[in-house]
Amino acid sequence: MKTIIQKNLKYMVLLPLILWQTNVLAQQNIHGKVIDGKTSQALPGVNIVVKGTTNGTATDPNGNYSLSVSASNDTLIYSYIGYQSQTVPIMGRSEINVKLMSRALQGKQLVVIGYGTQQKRDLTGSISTVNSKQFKKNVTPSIGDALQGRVAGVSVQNSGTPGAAPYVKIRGPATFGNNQPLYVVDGVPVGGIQDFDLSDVKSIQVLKDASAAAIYGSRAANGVIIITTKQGQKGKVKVNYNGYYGSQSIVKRYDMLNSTQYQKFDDLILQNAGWSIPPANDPNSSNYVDPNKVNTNWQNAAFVPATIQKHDITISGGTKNSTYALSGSYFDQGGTLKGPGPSFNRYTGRINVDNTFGKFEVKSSAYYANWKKINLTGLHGASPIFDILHAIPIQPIYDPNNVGGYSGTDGQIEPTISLNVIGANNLLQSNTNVDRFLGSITAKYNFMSNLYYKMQYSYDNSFVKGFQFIPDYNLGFFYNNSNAKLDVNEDRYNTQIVQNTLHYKKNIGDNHIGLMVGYTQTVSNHNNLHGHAEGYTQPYFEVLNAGTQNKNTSGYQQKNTLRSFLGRLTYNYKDTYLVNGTLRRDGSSRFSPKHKYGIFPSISLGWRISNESFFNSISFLKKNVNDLKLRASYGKLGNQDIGDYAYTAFINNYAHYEFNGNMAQGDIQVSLANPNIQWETNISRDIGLDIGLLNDKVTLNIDYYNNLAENILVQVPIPPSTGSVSAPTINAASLLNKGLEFSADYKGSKGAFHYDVSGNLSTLHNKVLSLGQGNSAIYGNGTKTVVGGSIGEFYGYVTNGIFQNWDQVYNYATQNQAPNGGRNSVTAQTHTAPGDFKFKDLNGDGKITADGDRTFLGSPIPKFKYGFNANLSYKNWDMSIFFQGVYGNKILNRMRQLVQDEAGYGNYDTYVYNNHWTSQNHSNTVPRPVYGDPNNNGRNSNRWLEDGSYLQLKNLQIGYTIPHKISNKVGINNLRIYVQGQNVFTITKYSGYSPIISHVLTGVSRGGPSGTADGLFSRGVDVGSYPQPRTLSLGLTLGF
Amino acid sequence: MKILKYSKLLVLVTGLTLISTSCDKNLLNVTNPNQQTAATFWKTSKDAVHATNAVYQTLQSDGAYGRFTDTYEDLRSDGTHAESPWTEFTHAGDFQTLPVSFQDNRVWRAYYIGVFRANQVLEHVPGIKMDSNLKKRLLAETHFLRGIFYFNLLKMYHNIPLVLHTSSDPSKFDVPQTSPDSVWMQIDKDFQAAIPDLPLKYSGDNVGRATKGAAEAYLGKSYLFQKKYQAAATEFKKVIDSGVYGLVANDRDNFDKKGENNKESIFEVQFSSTLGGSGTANGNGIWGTPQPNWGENNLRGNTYAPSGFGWADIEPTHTLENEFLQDSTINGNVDPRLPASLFYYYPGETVYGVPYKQAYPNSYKTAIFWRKYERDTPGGNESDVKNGIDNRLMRYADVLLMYAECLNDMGQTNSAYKYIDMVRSRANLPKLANTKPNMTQSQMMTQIAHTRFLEFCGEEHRYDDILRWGWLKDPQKLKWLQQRDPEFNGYKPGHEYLPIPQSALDANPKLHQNPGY
Repeated sequence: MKTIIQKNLKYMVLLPLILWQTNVLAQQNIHGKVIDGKTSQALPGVNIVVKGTTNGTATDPNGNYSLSVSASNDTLIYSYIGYQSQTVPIMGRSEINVKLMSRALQGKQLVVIGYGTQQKRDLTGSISTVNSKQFKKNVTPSIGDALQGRVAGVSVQNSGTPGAAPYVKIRGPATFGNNQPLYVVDGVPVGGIQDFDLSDVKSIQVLKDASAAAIYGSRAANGVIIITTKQGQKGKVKVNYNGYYGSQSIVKRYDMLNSTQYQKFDDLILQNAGWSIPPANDPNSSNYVDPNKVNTNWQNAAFVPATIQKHDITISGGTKNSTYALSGSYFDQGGTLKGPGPSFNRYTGRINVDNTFGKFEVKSSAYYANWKKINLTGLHGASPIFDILHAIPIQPIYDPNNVGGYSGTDGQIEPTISLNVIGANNLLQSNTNVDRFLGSITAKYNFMSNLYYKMQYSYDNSFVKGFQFIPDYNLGFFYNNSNAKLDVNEDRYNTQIVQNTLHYKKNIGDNHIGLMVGYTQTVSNHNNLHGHAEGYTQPYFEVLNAGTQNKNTSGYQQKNTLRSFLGRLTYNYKDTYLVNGTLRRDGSSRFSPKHKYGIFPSISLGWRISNESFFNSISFLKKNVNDLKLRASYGKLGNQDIGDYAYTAFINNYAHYEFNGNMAQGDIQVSLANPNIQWETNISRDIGLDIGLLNDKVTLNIDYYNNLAENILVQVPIPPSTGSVSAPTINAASLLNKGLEFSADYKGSKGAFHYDVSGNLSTLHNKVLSLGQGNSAIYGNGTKTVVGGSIGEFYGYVTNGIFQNWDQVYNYATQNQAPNGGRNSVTAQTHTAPGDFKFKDLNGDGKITADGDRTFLGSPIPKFKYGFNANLSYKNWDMSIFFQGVYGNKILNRMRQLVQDEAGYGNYDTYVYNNHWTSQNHSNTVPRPVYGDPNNNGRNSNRWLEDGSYLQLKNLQIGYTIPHKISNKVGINNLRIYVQGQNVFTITKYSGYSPIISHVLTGVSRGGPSGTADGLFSRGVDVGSYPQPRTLSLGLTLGF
Repeated sequence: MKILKYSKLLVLVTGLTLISTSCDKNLLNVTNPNQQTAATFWKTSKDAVHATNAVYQTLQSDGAYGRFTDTYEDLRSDGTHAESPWTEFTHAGDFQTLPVSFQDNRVWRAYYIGVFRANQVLEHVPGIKMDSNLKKRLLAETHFLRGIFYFNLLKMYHNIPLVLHTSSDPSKFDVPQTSPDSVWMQIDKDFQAAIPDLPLKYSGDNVGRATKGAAEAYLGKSYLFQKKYQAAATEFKKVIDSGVYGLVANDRDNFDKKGENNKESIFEVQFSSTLGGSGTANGNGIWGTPQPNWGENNLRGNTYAPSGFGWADIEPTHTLENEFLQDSTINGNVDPRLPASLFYYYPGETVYGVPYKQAYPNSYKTAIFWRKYERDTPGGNESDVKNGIDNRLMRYADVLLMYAECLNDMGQTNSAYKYIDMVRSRANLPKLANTKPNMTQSQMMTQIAHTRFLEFCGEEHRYDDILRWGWLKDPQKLKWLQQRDPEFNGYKPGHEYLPIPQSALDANPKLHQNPGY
């Protein structure tokens, strides 16, 4: 007791002394100058703070500074964007001059490339590193989605459907099949990138040309995206939390008719076809629907706000020989459509542990993801978004008398096909549940400091369960079910990969040599099991056992293997002349024995002009240009993603028939096959410039690429008279993709204001060189692909005004004119009449035909696309703004076709209601309304094409970091709160929900447009793409 | 230290995995565990039988008798019309089918899928070592089926490519159209090739296969289309004289489940609501690869079913109803074929067990629907799209009436009475021999047409008759048809045939669109 008092007494005595002393020392002033370590230029705006305080200043335009400090044993931190920070103890000095080294010149920034790393400044291929701080600001579960607009040459098509996997393309399509790039996570090629969480990502590299990607050979034709996850760092335990919570809503609406308008217009449409008005519209009928009582605005009823939230936590740390990072995340996105779906939620967990034991290094990684998606449920194949517009306002939402409780229409009362989407979305159940485990272990043995051997074994297992239950329901005409049924689908995928590589490095004088050789093999399996049962009665037990009829099961297995030999040589002379060569030989089970192996070489060269003496002899260049590198590459990539067993013709066993009441087994070949199927190849050429200006305050990258995709497997539409249900796949097509890519980054600061502005712009010129046998065209949904054009150009008729009178009808090229010059209201009911469109007789043969009078109307491929990002900070405030957009593409708006075709069956928009042709209103743009549209005014024509250019404020985030002084009091290292908006606004002329079209449809709707949206060949066709919601959220990051 | 050992163990395990997998020389030789390859097929008699069965399956497909052959044939007649919201039905009724119509495309595809299968059988089965009688019979069945496929293609599209061999060589895919005359020759050849090796009858699990009578009747029908009356009459007479066939007493037995494959049936497409997978009607009518869930049912049932019990896309005309009411039976009753063929209002009428007035309170007096080939089970409906009632493609009644027509066309009008009266008598109608003796050739023709119209309404025959009798090209007849069914107002020269599907034209530059489109 005594001692404690004594000790305290001592402090009590000393305390005033200390305080006094501090006051005295506060007078101390430090001054000095900060210059660039290489050029000795003064650096203005360098931040200087006293370590552990907020006391600080910045250098003036001449690089000079002065600062008052409280203690001569304090430490100063000098930091400047683009430069390595320096920590300098004062040690009693009053003048401290500092040289800062440019980060770019440190030569230590490593970029992860295939099977290794490389110094960024030594890159000779086209590799973009994505700024992970920027893309993480997206409110999205998906890594692919977050790339939109961030990287020149990368295009992302995404849907607003929660959990939908975006379509990512690098430098245009190299195949007609799967165009997605190869994703490599911590060295393991993986599929299903939507299973991975953005918060785990440490860095992303996009390998765009062959010299970068050819090391992945036959899997790299679409480019490669390399993802590295967070590893632990030596030091004490760090805990980081990040979370946000927000609200999403679909903002835009089509201006549709209300009940009164609808009935009036519907009557007109029917009467123009000689039909009587339906009971629902007839005030004298007992089935009359009073528009004052029923007036459903389906869009407002169906689109509802929904929440979105995400929480992730990372715990990391390490000792001298061991580091670890543990992380977990939860993401939940509700659907913006009334009902349980579509929605998505996902849990992930990751453990990364690295251990070093002398010459041994062992990295182990385990990843687990579980997600559940409630699917968007449609009926008869149409997108529910499409059906929302189509539904008629005189149909109420609910009807307690119907099985299921939702209303439907009655064909006897109202001739329409009107789906109650809210009813369908609530009644039909469909979901997907995924369990995924990815484990990998890497052993590295360092024989010498410059020679090591590495082996990685990975096991990737996914269990995908699909569930669909269709209860008894009655949603009226065309939409009912009286036999409840269940479908359960289970897919198990597993992939085992063994990768062995040997790495060697040697410096001989100014010669730096690197060598890597490797061998890998991959075995992938897929097992499918499907169960079906019907005849469920209420109360429903939604398991197969509870079904009473038609129970059956089916299943199949698939397997493929890949064996690869690979090698890379890098050579660098004096940092000035750079060479990189790779070679990969792949063997795949997917080809016939004759064609199993393919060789994929690449070479790239780099020349750092800024190292040359002639360059440095020009003082202007020496002063302003710190780095100038010219690089060029050439190589060949392959694609083996052609499906399993494609080279063999098979016997189908389900061609059964009935004889005398018994099933008669039927076996036959139903499709022709091509035994000579070969690798698809992509010859990639790239020339690029990397420029660093003003000590890398400004960086510029310019690339020109010219890729020739050859031997593209294509199912040339073969004549149906062959009788083959599908066309054999042949290596026949070739495509040219070329374009320019620019990206620029400018960073700096002024006082406490820091900015980092970056932008990118890229062009794609796509040209079809060959489509195989006969080069017959490929038709998509309103598109046609021909040699000489680009993929999926819009194709249709050209409108030429509207017939104003019968003379015009009969003096014009034949469309569907009634024979014998029938010029009366009866012929108008089923034939071309005044008020109908004239379509241009392009071949001048006097009749309008599909063969002769359709033409190309525009391309879905933008002339260029761009992204612009600004990160700004001032003291504790920060803000980021991200715009992205495209220019010069067209969209085929089939949604507008639906609400403007004036042919009956559904609701219409106010534009055609107000502007349609009548004998009084001689419109030249909106034809007459008539049931069945006998002139087919609604056919695919330029009428439905719209400018698809847009500029979107994709992300806006404003954050505030609580001063360390305050947060530290509650033991928090770092505490930041932010608000953000995603898809804040879009500037576009496109009239639909959103110019960002994703292809979501695989089927067709009865009464809707025919044809299917089949991906690549029908991009830019809006058939009810789920609109991206606007999201506002509030977030928090927390670090201990 | 423990961790060290653990890690070394991991390295060891991984190393072993590597070594064990890399030594696998057969790594890249992966065979499909799911399906037999074509190269290992065509070896046994079982293969031959199963392949022939697969040719039959074509008949069930959506483009064939699963739905769309029925709808195209019926809609273009004066006994049927469409008020469907599915415009392609109304377009078919109005003769306005568009080249991009997708069900028209299905019809074209369905029959060429059948031709591909038939050609495989005709190419491969001869080389199989098996019972020679069975082999001959299977080849004959296949010739018969290929004859039907081309017969339907020709009468619907008129200008068609004739494909008689399979080839996986892309340079041989684009087959041009052949003159209709040479297609007729090929059809006759196929039916002729079928006749000698087909049995008169089958028993057990073979009932439903093509018989000699079926091939003779179809050959006769083909001759009739070509106006080769003598040759046609010869074939029909063989069928009549075979002694195998007769009219069933109750006409309704020809359109329900229990009367399938009866003595009046010469050839019918077999359907079942229970066989095959649980899927609806051959995968709901897609022309793709047959799947385990394909059922053997048809979608016709739902498509023609009365409103409220199905889609009612295809409805009978009042012209048909009224024509039935022109005659009465010898007892003064309504022609029994009317209630057998149609749902229409009369006291006591029910629709799927529901009193007619209750089912259609607002329109019971005028609402008429198809009953033929519908299940009409109390409490049921067709919305499960699983109608399994066979479609009788060739009935004995048809042979009798076609024979009568041949006789009349050859000037033997008096001999025709016997056969037309056989059909009328079954309906309990008075014999023409008694009520209208000594008719002229053209009067007899009128009676035959009238009888065929009623007897075969909704059986895909009426439009064939209109076409082969040339009524669309006869202005007076056309006008008469327009009065009977306003859908004929849409007829334009050339539109007696369907347009060649746009997808076929697009894929094969050697094809030309039919004139008039």
